[in-house]
Amino acid sequence: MTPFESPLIDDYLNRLRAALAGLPEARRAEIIDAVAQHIADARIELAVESEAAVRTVLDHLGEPDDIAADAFEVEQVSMANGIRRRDLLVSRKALIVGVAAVVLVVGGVVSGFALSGGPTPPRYVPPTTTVVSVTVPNVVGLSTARAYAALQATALRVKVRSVPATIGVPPGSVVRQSPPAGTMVAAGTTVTVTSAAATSSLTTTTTIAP
Amino acid sequence: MSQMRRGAIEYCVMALLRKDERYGFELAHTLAEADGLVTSEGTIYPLLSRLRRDGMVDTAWRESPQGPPRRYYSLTGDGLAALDAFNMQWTRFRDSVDRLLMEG
Repeated sequence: MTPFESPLIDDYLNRLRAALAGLPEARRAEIIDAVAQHIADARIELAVESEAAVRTVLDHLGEPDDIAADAFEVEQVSMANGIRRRDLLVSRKALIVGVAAVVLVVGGVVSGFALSGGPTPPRYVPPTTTVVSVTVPNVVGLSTARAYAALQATALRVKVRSVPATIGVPPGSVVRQSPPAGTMVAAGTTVTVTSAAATSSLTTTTTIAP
Repeated sequence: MSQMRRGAIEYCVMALLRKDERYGFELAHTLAEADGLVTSEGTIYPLLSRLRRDGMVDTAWRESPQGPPRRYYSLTGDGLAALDAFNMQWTRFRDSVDRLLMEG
């Protein structure tokens, strides 16, 4: 069977490509290739022969913006794990670059159950952990990916809100942030960034829990 | 919660690869059929990309009887070890949560 040409698919992949802008190129290409192949396979396996059936395949895949949000979060989760391991290194770096860093020792913190941890059972850890105060950088006007990178580099967590594309605002760029730039917060605090969607008319919220 | 959920889904994907290699559509479709796990099939692709980068899964191109070659995903030795470790932790975690939920 030769699948018919469908402009819906090209449109979907273009939206995905735009939404993934800012991700390292190899990762972006890998995800786009995999999704393109998913669509090709779905068409073969589900004997998709109508525009409506193509639409159903794409609906099941989900909005390109949502896949992209997942991609950025997954990126952030791997980097957050690195930041946790390098807590002290991060605070030292922060002092060197002149970011006001106050190190406090807080006692009595219980280790959480780590889903991705090794085979050792969960247990109490010695009651020492460091809290670092950092200054929230300005990320308004940056692409979502750059905002992620900037906030991660400052040891902050990121929550992305996506709002419909607005005329005059570059798609995928941050239009608002909370708390605002210049605020002093504890490292690991969640900063909410609102970015303009590429083309979607949906408003979605994705959160990374601490 | 969302990070925990994502973590669990990662291991579900790896578990689907325990016995045999699979291609993306097959994985996405199987995962989407499980109740309450993922809301959209596309979610799996950023995850697979990360698992591959972390050395948990490997990919290989295989000829397909029906169309162009397909990228197949398989579990690596590291992936299998991580999956086994997760299984043990998950069972303990689930049992403890169940016990507390039931008994308070």
